[in-house]
Amino acid sequence: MKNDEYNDRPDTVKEVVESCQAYWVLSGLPRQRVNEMKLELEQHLREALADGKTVEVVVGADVNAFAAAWMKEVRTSKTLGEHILDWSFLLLLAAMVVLPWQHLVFRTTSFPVYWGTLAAIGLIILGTRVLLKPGLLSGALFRSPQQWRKILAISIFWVFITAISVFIWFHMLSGRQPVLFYWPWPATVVLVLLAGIVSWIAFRRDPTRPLPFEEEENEIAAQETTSSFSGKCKRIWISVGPYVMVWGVIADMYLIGREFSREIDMLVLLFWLIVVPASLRSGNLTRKLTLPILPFIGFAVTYHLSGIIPWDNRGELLDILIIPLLILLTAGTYWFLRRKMRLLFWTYLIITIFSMAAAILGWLGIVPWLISI
Amino acid sequence: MEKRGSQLLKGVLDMCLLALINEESCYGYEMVRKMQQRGLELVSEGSIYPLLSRLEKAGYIEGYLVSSREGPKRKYYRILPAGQEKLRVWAAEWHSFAGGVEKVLRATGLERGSEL
Repeated sequence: MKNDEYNDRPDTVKEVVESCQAYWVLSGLPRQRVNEMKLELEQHLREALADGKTVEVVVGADVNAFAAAWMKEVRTSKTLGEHILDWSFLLLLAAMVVLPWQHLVFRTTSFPVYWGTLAAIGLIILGTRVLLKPGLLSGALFRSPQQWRKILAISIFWVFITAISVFIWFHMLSGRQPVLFYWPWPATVVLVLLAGIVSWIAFRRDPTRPLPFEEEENEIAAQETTSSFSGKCKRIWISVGPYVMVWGVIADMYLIGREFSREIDMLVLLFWLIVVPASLRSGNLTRKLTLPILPFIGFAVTYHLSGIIPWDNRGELLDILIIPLLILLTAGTYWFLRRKMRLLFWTYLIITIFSMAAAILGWLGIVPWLISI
Repeated sequence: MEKRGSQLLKGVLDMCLLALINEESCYGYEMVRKMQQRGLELVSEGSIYPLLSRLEKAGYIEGYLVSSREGPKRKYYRILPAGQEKLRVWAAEWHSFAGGVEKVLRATGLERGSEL
């Protein structure tokens, strides 16, 4: 069939194919299988339309029902290991949303955990599962920009309101519920490391991961190896940047308390701003995900362990830390959105919005009541 | 074709698809065309795909991608030995069933082409 014939009616075919694709990906079908199904359906629709038929003749009146019927015949049941991995991933990410940021908001090395804290983790797990269900909001990721932008805006607003509500809830819980236990900072370090490891495993084993990903990377990498000046500069930044960041942090440790320590902080921040977005466009996946995170972990842990910073200055330090972290999270959210990776997109989005809400509340001093704990 | 015809076809669509693939390797839309040429009209053409996936999962057919000069690759299906065996069984069942129905109609004087 000629392309012109298809181009006469691109929206209907595209809409139907993308709706089905969304349904299949969100149902957890492997991306390779989804791509094959999408290809078959698109070609069938093109030929049917060229023969004067309607889209309804092919998929029936309910596109979701058609997608569901096909999905049921393709889907294989998950193994116990896959179920465990899925739930651990969600649990750790929900814990990441609720727990570590209290260090930043309340500026303390340990904070109280109530029943409400655990309930908040449960609610986030439940909410994420609901968001990931096919046919709900996540489907919008695969539709036209006009559609998904609108739904994305609503989702962001919803998550933001939820985040504010959760923090206010904590505020209300303070003093009204018995403290179950105090969450110490080493537990946060373990949580961050565990979440990183489990996220990495979940990401590597996620069958819904887009396939052309590696090819795209290779193409970008190939483009960047060209002899252009900007390409060379970018490669140098990517290669050297993370190491400079780490050494910058170490230097900062030695220079802390002296006048030029702030300049080192700014240098580290500058590298964060340049290296993180750049590394998201090049290199292999492991490097992309781990290198930008490692310095932050090193930075945070070293500062915690050293204890050489006066307590009064820690709030200021955390203010500096949260900015690059928010940039990293935002970049990650956008990156996963572009690649239509449902699980990581939604979790990154939720974490980003929660972090922003936490930071804003902290900076505005709306919840200063626990600082003294 | 009337709705009743579509209902009848639903019950034997997997067998028809298997028979068409046994005849010659083909892709989804080609199967629909061949059925239409033989007087079988589907209410929802896309309903062949879940069935093709089921047949593929059962090991009766296999799909393979063929490069096309006109555009992207196209998925063709070919029959496997287990599929040929299954087709023989299903065809025997069908002939037995259709024969029974034919006998019932003949007993009431409604043979093929006759009027009430």
